[in-house]
Amino acid sequence: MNKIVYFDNAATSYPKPEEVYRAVDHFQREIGASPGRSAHRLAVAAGRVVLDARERLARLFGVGNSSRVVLTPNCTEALNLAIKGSLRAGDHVVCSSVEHNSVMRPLRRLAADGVVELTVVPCSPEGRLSPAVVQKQLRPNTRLVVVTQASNVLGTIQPVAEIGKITRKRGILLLVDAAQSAGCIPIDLPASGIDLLAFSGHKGLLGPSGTGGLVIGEDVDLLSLKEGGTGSRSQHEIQPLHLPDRYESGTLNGPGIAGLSAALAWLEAQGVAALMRRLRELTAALLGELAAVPGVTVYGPRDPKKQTAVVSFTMAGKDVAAVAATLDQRFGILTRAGLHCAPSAHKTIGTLRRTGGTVRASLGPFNTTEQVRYFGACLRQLSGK
Amino acid sequence: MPDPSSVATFFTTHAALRAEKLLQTADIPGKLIPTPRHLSADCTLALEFPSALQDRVREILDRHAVETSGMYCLE
Ligand SMILES: Cc1ncc(COP(=O)(O)O)c(C=O)c1O
Repeated sequence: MNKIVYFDNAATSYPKPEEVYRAVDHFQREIGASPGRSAHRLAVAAGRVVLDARERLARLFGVGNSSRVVLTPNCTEALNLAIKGSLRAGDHVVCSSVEHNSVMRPLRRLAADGVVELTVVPCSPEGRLSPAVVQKQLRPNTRLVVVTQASNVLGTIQPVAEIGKITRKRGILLLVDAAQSAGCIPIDLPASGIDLLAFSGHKGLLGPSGTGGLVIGEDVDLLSLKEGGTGSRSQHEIQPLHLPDRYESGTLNGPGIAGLSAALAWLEAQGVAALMRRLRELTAALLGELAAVPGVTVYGPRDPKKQTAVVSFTMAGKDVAAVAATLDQRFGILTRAGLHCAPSAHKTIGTLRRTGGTVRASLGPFNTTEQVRYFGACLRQLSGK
Repeated sequence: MPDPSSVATFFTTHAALRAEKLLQTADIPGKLIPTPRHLSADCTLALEFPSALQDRVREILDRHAVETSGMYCLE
């Protein structure tokens, strides 16, 4: 069989809208030049592509000033910039217990180096973070709260706006990891009290890999993570302070950003709210199929309104890696087994040691109800019942 | 004799390109040019436009928070 059912959209989305492939190809063949460097026509054309992407991102997140949208190679670098650029010696930082390692590891390292004190706030067994519990953990020296808006293991959507109200009142920075939420649920930075929003361009935003970024709120000042050529203020040997150049040293990923811009145009045309409704229907179907398989345990909210299209499960008596391998080899269904770079999230739901993680099925806008039904039928066959 | 031109210079390419787009939207004839070396070394691109429209250009860029590093009348 050569039919592929791709249920690994939380790792990276596939396929992309047709326009994305065309935009990458067009950039490579017809534009090619480095944005922001030379003054010739192709460099200007490349610069306009980057400007369009930035302006679309600003619109998507409700931000007025597109120079506050900094482009990075992925969400991990954006998170590192936000965390290491904002925290200083002696600061206290709070995060949830379902954070991805791209948040947890930078924080653990800063804590291990004695730079910051770290509090990891436990989430409920469904992966939900309580704003009241976050509030109780705040200290006079708390500078930053980090929250994954939607868990990459459970899909759980966090009450970010409620947490934002608390951090705003206390003058604490709120960093949101939107790797799993951008493009999947509507996000409004100012309305949610978000100071820093890190996103992947290659997941729910449907752009190519090698894209991501950090939106930096108007009053937020970060140290740069790296310094280098920006194509601007080149007479100075010290890093310029103007955004976005301050945080964008080195040649940008022109083809990737062109693809991301095309993906954002596609998202604008579809509407994120409409896509979210569609993904909710698919998630409801997926949860329904899983509930009908004997011996399957589903983790997380199990409610399409409280989660993204990410569902983790285990099968009684079966190794998670073996289940994923069989789904791939026998049925052409591509899922991801294991810890999903989020050991703390698996600790929260009790699957870290007991089962070695979960099998994760994550859907995208190009998946269909038929695929979800086929998945259910295959699992029932696997369960032997 | 052609109308006298002005040049706006910027700190970032982003600002220069954004300014170009804003002028286009406002139907003001603006053209990106390589920044004349004697004016600024901040950004490779500058924006040339008719001097008669300097006040309007200033107003538009201010309203959209596009920072310039200078504005010059060309001889
Ligand atoms: C919740 C979460 N945060 C961060 C990341 C890192 O994203 P990227 O691979 O774009 O660096 C991922 C995905 O891998 C994720 O799921």
